[in-house]
Amino acid sequence: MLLQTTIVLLCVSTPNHPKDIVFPDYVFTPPVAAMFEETLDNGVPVFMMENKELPLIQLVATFKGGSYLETDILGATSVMESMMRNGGTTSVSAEDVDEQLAFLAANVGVGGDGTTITATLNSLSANFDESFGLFVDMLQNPGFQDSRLNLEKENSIEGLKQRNDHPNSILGREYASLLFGESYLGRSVVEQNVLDIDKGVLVDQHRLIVNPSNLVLSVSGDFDSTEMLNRLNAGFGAWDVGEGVSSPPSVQSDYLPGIYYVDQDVPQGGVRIGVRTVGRDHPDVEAMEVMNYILGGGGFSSRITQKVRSDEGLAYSVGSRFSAGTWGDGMWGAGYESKNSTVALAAILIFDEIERIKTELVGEEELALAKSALVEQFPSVFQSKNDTLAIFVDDKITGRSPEYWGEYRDNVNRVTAEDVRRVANGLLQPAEMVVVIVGDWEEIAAGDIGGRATINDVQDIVGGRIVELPLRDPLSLEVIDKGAN
Amino acid sequence: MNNSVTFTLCACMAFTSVAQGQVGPDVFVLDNGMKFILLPRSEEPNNVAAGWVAKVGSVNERPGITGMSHFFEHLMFKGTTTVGTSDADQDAMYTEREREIRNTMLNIIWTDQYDKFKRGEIDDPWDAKNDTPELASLRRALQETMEEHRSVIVKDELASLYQSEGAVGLNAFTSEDVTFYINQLPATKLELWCWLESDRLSNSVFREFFSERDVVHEERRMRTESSPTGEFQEQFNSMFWQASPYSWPVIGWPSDLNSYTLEEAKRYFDIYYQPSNLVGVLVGDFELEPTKKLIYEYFGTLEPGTTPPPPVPTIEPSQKAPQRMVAEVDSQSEIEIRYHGVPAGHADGYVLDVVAAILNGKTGRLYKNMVEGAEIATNASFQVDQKKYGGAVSFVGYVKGDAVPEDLEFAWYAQVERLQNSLVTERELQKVKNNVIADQYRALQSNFFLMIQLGYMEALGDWEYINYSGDRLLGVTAEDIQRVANLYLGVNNSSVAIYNRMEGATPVDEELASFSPEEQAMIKQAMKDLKTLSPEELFEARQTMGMQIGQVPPQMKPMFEYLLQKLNDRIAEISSDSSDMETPEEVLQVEVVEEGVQQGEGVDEGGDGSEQGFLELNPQQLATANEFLVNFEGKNLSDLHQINAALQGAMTTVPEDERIILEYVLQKLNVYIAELENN
Repeated sequence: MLLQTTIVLLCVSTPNHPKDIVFPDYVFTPPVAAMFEETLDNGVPVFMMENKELPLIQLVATFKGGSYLETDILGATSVMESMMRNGGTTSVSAEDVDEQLAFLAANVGVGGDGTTITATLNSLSANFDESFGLFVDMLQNPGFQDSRLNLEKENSIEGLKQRNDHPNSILGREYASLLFGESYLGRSVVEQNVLDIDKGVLVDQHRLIVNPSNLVLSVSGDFDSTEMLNRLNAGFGAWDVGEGVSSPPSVQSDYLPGIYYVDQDVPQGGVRIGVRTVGRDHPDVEAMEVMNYILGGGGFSSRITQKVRSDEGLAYSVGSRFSAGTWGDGMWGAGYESKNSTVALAAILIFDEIERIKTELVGEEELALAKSALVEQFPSVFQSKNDTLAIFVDDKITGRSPEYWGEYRDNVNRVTAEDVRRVANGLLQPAEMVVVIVGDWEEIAAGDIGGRATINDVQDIVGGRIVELPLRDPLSLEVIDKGAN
Repeated sequence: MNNSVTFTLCACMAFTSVAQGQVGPDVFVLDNGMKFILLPRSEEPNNVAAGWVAKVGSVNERPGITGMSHFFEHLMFKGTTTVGTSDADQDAMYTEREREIRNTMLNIIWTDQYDKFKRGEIDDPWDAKNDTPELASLRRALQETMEEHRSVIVKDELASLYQSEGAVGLNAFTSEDVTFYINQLPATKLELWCWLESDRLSNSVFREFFSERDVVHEERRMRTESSPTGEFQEQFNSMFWQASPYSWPVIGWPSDLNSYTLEEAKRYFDIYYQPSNLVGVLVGDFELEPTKKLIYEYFGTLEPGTTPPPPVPTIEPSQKAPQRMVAEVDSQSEIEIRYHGVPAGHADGYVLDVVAAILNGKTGRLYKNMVEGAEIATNASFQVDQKKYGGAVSFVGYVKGDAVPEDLEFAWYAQVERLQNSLVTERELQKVKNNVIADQYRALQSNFFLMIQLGYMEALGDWEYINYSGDRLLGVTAEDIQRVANLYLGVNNSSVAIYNRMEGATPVDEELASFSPEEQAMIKQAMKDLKTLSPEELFEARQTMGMQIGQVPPQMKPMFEYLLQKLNDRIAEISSDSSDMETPEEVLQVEVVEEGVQQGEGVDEGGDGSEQGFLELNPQQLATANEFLVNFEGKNLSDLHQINAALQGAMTTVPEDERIILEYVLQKLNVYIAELENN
């Protein structure tokens, strides 16, 4: 066991304040991927961690590739993922695959996040060989059975139909589209895309992505590593290596800052305020994390949450998020939902906090809290073996430096109050932000009953125009003519 | 394929406390009555999932304080005499002043404002816009006091103290039966958990009572009111439970949320947060003895309660007749059919769980029958809900395409009959049992999930449920299933909720909505039939309908035209489906013409068309038009008016390339009529 625990609980009378508690030492060293890595005969990397606690084995196959590779037919990758799970294999019908897996009590799932495709098998160790055999067949020889493809397409379209049902899904779609335009991060599938998908499209997409050149395996659970390596070689070793895909492009398109709204008859307005950020190799990433933690990322102890939720009671869920991009720009965004009349007021309070963190140095205690939280919560990233393996795989695919995890806590500890102010000034320019609001516009624009803020006050800060985004047809995403409603 | 998969476990496997899918925690009760369940598990190094559960939820409330349990959960994060304030005395002074102002306001609202509301003079007794001058000034005073109060409040200090020591996932949730406070933190920081949790169980001050109430209002708006089905589900739930306190929502009715008082909150705390009503649970990488010592030191000091919590005596009467709710919603049409079931721990609960397993999943009966077979659902499932004092089982389905919720309803009744009349197959049962075994192991994989299960089951009755449920499930027979299907899935025990997608999202739908319900039903039926027709049959149908249109009674005409238009749509759809065919059908698509644009005035004013100049037709079109026009000669005026009206009606339904001919004919006809009339 790499990680060592020394817990010595001393018997003393209880301290008067929680800050007076003396905690036992615990030294956490992040696990090093190389120590768990093997390679299959055809070059596929495998990360393995034995765990004999329960008679279960989890095998994860992750392929680099995803919707960013789509050119004509958006959504083809996502349908392909589904069909790898649901479409049977070239020699076993979809119904038989389902029935056999269910009888074996094996869970198999295939999904993706736009840049990778992940297939997971969770099986009892007692019958792992049988379920593994089916799993390998599903990955290498998907059947894309016609009946299941039709069903998948029809149900996808049913899913598209529901895209306007919840104000949040309208908000998320418009926000992504405004910030990331027609790139793979901003675009959405429309009905015609789904209709255009046929078996040939799936076969092409499968050939492009699902091959050993793009594959990283990880496995944890009740097995012996040497035996497992033999099994994996037997299953995947003879698979034609194929060609590797290109990496996701960084998104370069411009976007237009300003206030955008979709008028919806709902009791509460949903809001996103956001801006594109930096790539993860930027030297200030840790300073940005600390800054965001203090501003709105640190949950209840962050400024935005305290101001908007605790002080004013204007929102149940409110805060901000910062991400540095893996393949290009990341994103900073604040979000909340508030009754229509206080949407503007909450926005003003958030912009006040943005202004404050850009002008005043953060307090020592506040800075110490943020840094301590990020450093102390760090080990939880590696909490379980499956969490750890997921990090190894992701680093392998994205080429993250092995030093990153070892240096992370030092990098956080080095952040100063000046750094926080500096990066806040670099990132958080209201005039570069996109504000997207979905709610009852008449009430939102008028503002709160106490006259503390209207939408014009928000416009004074953000600048630019206020633009109405007409509701889009959920299937075609074409603008719905309001007169027809 | 091996039909009798067995899972014999090697006896030498070094399982500690979770061997054989069983857990063996250390369970003890402090002198003050607080129970603890401790399960050491080293798989996640230096991590502990820590929680405590209060055996209280909305089922313990009464009308007037609904939602109090959930509101209380929020208040428990607001600090104590030590945590969350820089000056406990000043803090208490402000809290008291706020309480006094608020109670004065409440007395005015509950009397004068409610009276005005009952007389219909104001729309909402709580809305600030309806305040009397006195209320408005009290509201201002409360706001000012709350703002001053902030000078001695250390904001959300509980969260900060935890986060800075590496805790993740400080949270809580409330259900009908339990309120659960959860966290995950480094094992080395367990004393912090003991300190802060025992502190908030003995020294809570419920500060920021009123701004937190606003937060809960926002939570209600988000969870319930902004959800397209949220408020309908509340109504259905209230309809389903006739007498039980499960009838009101966990988050409470809005008026009750406004009415909470600090006094009521304190009473609630004294009764339901006394140690004997609480259970602490720790799962993770800790050593048992030192941890127990800490627990005794910190939680042992909690004052025992004086009187035990009152019982929940109401037993839901058996339902006498089926119930039905039909709602129009802004989301996918769906259906829920809910039946009264059994509370947690009831022997039939295991059987219902197996019924669910047979019906659900990709190889389950519902998917096979409704999603894959009849293709009337995108999703269909059977859900078992076992609460502390009662239970329910539900069929839930989301409709697909042109199906309606009633289609799913009938498909479900067929499934019920099948369960009631014939035994499930041996293979179906064996498949469920194989999964029972695997899932029992899967449930033990994470500290956090284990902690939640132990606490929840203990609060509902017995943590050991997670140990013996496997065997009980494996013991269920095909005969048991048939018995419970007959016992619980009867029509008189059912409540049906139909959610129809609100029409009007598209112009076509709005048109449909203008028909009477009977006509809508007829149209929907016809549309279903339409789906089954081949392209040839569709063309034939269009021809027939086109010929009949002149003879349709006036009151049926709009419906007839609507269907004809749908028929054309369907033809266009089929044509565009087969993308490799360049068929003339491509151009047959109908553009829906707004009513009144082409008809109406044109008919009444007669010869207007003559002033606009005639449309230009190509020779072929002209030939067709002339064939029409020949037939008009010699007809009397009244016949010509009728022909005119029929052609106007047909205008909305003919394909675009033919419309120009019809328009030309109409122009000519109008001129002809005008000439005759002038003579």
